Amino acid sequence: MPFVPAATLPVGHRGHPRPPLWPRLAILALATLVVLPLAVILFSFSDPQADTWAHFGEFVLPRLLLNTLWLLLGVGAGTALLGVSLAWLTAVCEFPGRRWLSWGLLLPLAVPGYVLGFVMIGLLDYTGPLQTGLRDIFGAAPEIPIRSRGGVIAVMALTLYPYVYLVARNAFLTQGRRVLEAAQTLGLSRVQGFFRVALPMARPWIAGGLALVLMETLADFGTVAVFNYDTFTTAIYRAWFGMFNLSAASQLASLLVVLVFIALALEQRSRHGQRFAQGGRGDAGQRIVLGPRARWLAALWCGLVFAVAVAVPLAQLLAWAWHSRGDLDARYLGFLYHSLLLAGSGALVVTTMGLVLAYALRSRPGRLATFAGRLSILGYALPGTVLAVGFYLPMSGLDNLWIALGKHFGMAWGPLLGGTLVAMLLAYAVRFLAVGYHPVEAALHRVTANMDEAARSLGSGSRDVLARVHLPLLRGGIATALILVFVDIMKEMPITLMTRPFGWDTLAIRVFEMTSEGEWQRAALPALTLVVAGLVPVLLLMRSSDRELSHAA
Amino acid sequence: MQLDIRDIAVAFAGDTILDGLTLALEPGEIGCLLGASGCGKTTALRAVAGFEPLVRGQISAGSQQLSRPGWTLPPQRRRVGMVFQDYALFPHLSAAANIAFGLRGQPARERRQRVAAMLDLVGLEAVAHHFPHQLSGGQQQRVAVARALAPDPAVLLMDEPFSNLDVELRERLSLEVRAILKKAGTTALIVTHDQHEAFAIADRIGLMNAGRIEQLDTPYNLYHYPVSRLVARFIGQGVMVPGVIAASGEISTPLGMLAPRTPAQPGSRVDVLLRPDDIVHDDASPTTARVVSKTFRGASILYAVELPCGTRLLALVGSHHNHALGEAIGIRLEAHHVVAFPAP
Repeated sequence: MPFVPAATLPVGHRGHPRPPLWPRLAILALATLVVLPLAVILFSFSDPQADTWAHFGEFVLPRLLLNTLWLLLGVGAGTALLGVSLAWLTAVCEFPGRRWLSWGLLLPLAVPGYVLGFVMIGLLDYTGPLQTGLRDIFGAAPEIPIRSRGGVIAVMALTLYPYVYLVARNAFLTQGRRVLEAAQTLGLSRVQGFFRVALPMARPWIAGGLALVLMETLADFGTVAVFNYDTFTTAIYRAWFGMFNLSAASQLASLLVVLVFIALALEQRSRHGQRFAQGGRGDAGQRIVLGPRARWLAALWCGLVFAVAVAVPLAQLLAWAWHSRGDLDARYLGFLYHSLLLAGSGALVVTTMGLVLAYALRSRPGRLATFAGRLSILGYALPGTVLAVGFYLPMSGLDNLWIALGKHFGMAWGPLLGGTLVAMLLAYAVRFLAVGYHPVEAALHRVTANMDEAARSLGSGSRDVLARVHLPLLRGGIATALILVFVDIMKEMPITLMTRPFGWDTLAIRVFEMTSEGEWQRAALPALTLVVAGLVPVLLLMRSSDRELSHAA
Repeated sequence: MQLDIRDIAVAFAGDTILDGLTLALEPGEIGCLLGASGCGKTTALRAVAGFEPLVRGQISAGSQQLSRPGWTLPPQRRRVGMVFQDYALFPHLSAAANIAFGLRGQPARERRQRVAAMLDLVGLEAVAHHFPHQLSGGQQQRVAVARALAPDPAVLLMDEPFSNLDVELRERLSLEVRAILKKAGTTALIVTHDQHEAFAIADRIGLMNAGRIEQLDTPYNLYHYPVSRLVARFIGQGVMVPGVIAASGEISTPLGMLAPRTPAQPGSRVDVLLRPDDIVHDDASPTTARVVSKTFRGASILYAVELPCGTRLLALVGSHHNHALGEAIGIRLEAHHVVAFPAP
């Protein structure tokens, strides 16, 4: 693609004789990339294997659907309850420990669901330290049914609630306590004010956060795999590796995509609501000072969530990792190396794509921008298992064609596209484009069209404008994009699991293999590494929203 | 340097935005394009800066041609400085570094001296190392002016330079910027929709309408001798009073006889422009008018009054003459500049 920096273009001005072609090409290429896997999995229906479907229809599908629906319902309700209650307490009320808890409660973002899952099982299972300890003291202990539907739901709610917490907290902070005071002057009690004013005002944002939670729940593979809880993602994986039934895997994937589209529709609707429910300017005002008992209850509730979601699992991981510190060997370094290599190259690919897309939209703003934004969100919503199937099939098809062609000419041609590595990178790109695009786009937004023209009127050519104005201003956004995508790919499980070339085991794969054998201790060291890496973007997030709020104040 | 804009036209996708605009500024003169939004004044500025190609006409600075149809000298090579409405300061550079931006290629020592001279000119030495977000709106504006002046441009362009500032700051800064430009001796072209701003800063003002200049004149003449009803309506306040040319050549109006500036055919109907300061409140005057509405302005009161014949007038009266609505007050005409337009 001919990459023409936007600085050479008359930015955003109508009526110049020939608008450049490359932005459209860039967006077309992106659209192809997102649509390709969808087309591939839908195409699988043209080859129905009747017997497989009969089997599916009778035994597997109803259970998968029921399991998935329960999971969506449970995780949705759980994250809403946790997210909204914690957000309200930390945003509007005053209680001991509020200041650091309001940030601490974001930390679960750093703990992948599959990590919290295996820690909880290891901790609470019959053979785990809690039950054995209780038995040692009392001779008997109540059984904790952690390996159950309730267990998965609890674990996923505890890892995903920050999506709701973050947006609800922002909504409560920006709508200000003014609104609540207004409600009180109109005769509503505080509780009534919360339910009749604050909550409805924050609803579009909460719905947006919930939609993200539902997408993550649908996409999740690692957590449900740890619990042996069958959903579409695990079924796709088993059809793929257990039965080598590619069309069954694709057909399952297309059903999963239907569910994803429902969640997406919800997300789009919530965006619509946000436009009309613009909160006023963030207005500090007075926090609600809770009564002597209520303030300790509030601190207890927030502290409990923090302990269960962050402190206890982290302590347990540390203990296990110390116990199995002998694993810190050449093999571990191999996993780490593969993780860093994949995450690094993936981050480069995704950030470059994000940069091209951001420039494309800058030179051709308007409806295209909305379209591209939707595309990137669609890519983010597609579960890794779906993308893995959707990219693996055409890539391996191309490879087979190539090898057959080689045979035809009497040559032993190797795989054309480096085996499945390309499929893996493309799948990463589609999955995480939204993650890499947004920081870059936000940074580019700061470079106004007038700045380009100012630089030009001061004697700068287009390359000079790029080097002296754009690059310095984009640096932070590019770095953020790289870091966010890097860490997301490090934690990513299904795409890596299903498309990695032979022998390319990463930290996440190691965690998957150890946990599927119930070796919690040996999973701890790679898991801990992932959690530490996951802390970086959370810290970035805290810093940026801190800055935002202090700007608003 | 002299700026010469001759009969230019600019069109976007079939829409003609500028059509036959002509304007010449003497070296060191400050010109202003004044007009309502959509009249094409910003497009004219961007054409001079080199961001819009011409369909017709030509633009030159001194002896150098800048634009003609089919050929546009790139903005970075035409030595035309520009101050943007939002200032477009580079947020990652300090005030001094912003000012130094256009001085690349000069030896470091000269560059430093030039930046210091510019900071001194706009009076911002104290905040040289502050970043744009640490500066007040007025300071940001002065950095933008200094940045544009630093490379010693042949012409300086300013697009609505004061619209982002408080009303009180506006007037002070427009006088300040005028002083800076005069001290630097720069030829400047300014675009604004605010006539008070234009009056404060410009030597000559071109009132724009529909892509061309309706009248190019000094602020004084624009106010007192508008060439058309459009200019009369846009600049200042006033009313049109109907009159008839008498046999004597004078204009007969409900307020008495007036001497026209230009002779007209006896018997023809005209409209006479009367400004609020042409009507004087005089208790001794035989002509009385009823107060219809009033606006208190501190030092003065603007009355709208109605003559017995139904003609409405505006009168600017000292603030201690406080009259009630409906009250009849004596008025007298004291017009030094009689401007009449043929009745439609």
